[in-house]
Amino acid sequence: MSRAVDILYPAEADGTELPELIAAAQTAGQALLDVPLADRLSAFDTLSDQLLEGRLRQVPGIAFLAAFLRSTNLRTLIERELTFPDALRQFVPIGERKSARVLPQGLVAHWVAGNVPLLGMFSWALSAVVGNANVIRLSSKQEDVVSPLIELLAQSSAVGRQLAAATLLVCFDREHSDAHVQLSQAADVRIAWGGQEAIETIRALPCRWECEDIALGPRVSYAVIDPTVATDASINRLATDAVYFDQLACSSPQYLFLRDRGEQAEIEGFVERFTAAFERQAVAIPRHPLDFSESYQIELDRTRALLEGGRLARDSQTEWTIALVDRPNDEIRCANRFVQIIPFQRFETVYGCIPRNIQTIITLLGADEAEQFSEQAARRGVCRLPRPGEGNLFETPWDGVPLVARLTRWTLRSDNRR
Amino acid sequence: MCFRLTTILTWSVKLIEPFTTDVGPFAMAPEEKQAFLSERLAALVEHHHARCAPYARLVDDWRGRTTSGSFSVESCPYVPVTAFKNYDLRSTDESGTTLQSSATTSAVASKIFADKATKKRQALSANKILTDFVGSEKRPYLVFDLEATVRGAGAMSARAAAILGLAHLATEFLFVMREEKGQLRIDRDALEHAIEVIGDGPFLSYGFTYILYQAHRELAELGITLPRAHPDSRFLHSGGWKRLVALAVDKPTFNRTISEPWQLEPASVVDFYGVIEQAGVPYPDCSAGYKHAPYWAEVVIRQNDSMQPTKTGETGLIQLINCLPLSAPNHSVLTEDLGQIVLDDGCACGRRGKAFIFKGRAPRSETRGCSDVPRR
Repeated sequence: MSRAVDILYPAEADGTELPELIAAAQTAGQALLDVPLADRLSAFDTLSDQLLEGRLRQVPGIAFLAAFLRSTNLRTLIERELTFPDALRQFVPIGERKSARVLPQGLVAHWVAGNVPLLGMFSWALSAVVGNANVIRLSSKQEDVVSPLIELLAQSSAVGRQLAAATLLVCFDREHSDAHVQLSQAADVRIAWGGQEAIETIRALPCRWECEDIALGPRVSYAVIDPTVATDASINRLATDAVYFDQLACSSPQYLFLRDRGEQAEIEGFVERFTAAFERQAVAIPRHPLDFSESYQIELDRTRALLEGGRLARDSQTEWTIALVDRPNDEIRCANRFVQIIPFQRFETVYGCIPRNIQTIITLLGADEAEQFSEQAARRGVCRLPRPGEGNLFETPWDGVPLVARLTRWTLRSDNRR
Repeated sequence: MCFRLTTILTWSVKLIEPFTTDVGPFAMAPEEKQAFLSERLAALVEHHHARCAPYARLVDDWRGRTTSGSFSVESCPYVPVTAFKNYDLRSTDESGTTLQSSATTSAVASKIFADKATKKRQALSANKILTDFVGSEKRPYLVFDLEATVRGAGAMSARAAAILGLAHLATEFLFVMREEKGQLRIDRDALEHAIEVIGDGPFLSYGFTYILYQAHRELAELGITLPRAHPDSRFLHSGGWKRLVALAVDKPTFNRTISEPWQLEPASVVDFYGVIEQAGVPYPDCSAGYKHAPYWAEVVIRQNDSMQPTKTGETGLIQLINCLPLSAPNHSVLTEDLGQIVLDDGCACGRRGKAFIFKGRAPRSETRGCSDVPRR
């Protein structure tokens, strides 16, 4: 077990101690205060273009990141939470004799989920665009698709270089408690991505009392679809939502609740169209090779679905599975492209299946039903209700957390009477 | 050798007789074995299809995907062993015994139902296999376990099943462990009595791998000197190595720890692989260090991802097949264990057919990403 801290970015920093590198990133972050938001947004626009052109475009999920980095998207997300984004540059009046200035929190430390390193780049970009310095910790060097990306940013423009200079990318074992503690104690914001154990471990690290925590923990997502509203295009987009990231993202739909008005042909027709789309997407989007345990799990889950009276559509290997079942089986893992379709006649059936760790329910219903369902779903803890094709689009708030607000701090000023 | 699925429907249970009198357990040539086994397995699939409704759904799904219309050993549908933890799969309403796994990994035990006829077939199978490895001569049977392990009329544990699997070779059972504060310890009085009974003659011994190891560690710590065992004596053991791996005990160290106090060769210690879902078919190591399936059983190693049979020399998930079970559809199971076919035929030990090695439990996947299971 390695006890070293590998410095993945900046490359020339190898050999320097972690605290010094963190301090250097913080200093570079201070310099970002003088860079206008528009310039930072523009740097990410350039990076977005380059991601789609270069060798990184092969990385699964890179298209989502490129879309996320578009300046129009980032500006929309900032404005969603900050109705006066100019406060990121200067004091702006916000009401009777009051002005506000919104500043970055300082140093944001990101602990990225194992095996899905790209997820952390979404929180990094949002943090960087509002002016924070960032340290990203990966658990394995093999997962490093991140340093080429930051390298690209550094080469793209002068502001890109400044943003990259305020970013430190490191890799160390989970047992390297000294490095974890150093990072945690330096952080103004700690962002933890991943499973329950990882989140709890990070939150248990010592930190300053004023440090802000953002836990983007393990969650499940569903879809609720009315087959009469579904078009071929929306079904295709829904299949993409389930196939992307090998269904290992918290936003990946696992259960697909299908509105059943008693017309068997309607259900069968949808299942057939969805199966065709799912198979197409599963072939088009490469998947990581399953290990033995994952392969066994898929065979077991298929068996469980059948033993309980379900029906399967599947490939001849372990690429993808759709199980049509009467009721969802929580024992079935629903990972690596395994979806349970559950017809329902009353929305109460769906409400009863919403767990406390729900995140997203992709929704495609008629307008009235969508309105009713949204309200009831929100009351039961659902954080997002996107349309098909938007399931994996990272946005803020995420997991119900307004990220821009948590990545910034306010200075409030009383103004003179005019 | 393949059989048309349509013809299978007419076969009766009588055709499923797993044994033949004219050949030894490991003497059947591979081609002949394929034909022998395919015929019986196909009939067995139909037998369980007709009697176990949940299993019938698995078979119907498999038939829907089987394009060739033929049946072979490798195409035989399987049930992942974990399914026996969650589902009560039975093909009979008759009374019988439920075999229960040790539930060390998930805290939920597999439950395998076996009626009288199945138990008889399993006992005969174990008898034939073990006789082939340790001889048919009956001997005192030194058991490193509690007598209570094999008592009770209800569910039978994997340990009990393994102990009783050697019963036919025993002149007398000699249990030498006692329980103290939940721990198994050497029962010195019982051991002294056992040694007296054994005298100068050969004996047979069995213990779960970890228990056998702990018992011999305790014997060493207590400074108990054991008599030189007759060279034909054998120590058999089975069960997981997980706890021994944690203690950094490998197979040579294990074999020495057991054999040396008895002044036996390390080869006198025989590891056998088996799972409760395939009771009656133990897989002992042969003199070449490999495992073999008798003519009424087979091992298929499957690749990850594609689940296709591996080539010789490739590691994969172990599928175990035998044509014994009549009371539950556990005749073909996919295990979570890894193995490798080493030879397709021609093992130096003289046994025919595939030779394979067991490579331990497939490592659990690392948690990937931030997806989860529903928590209520």
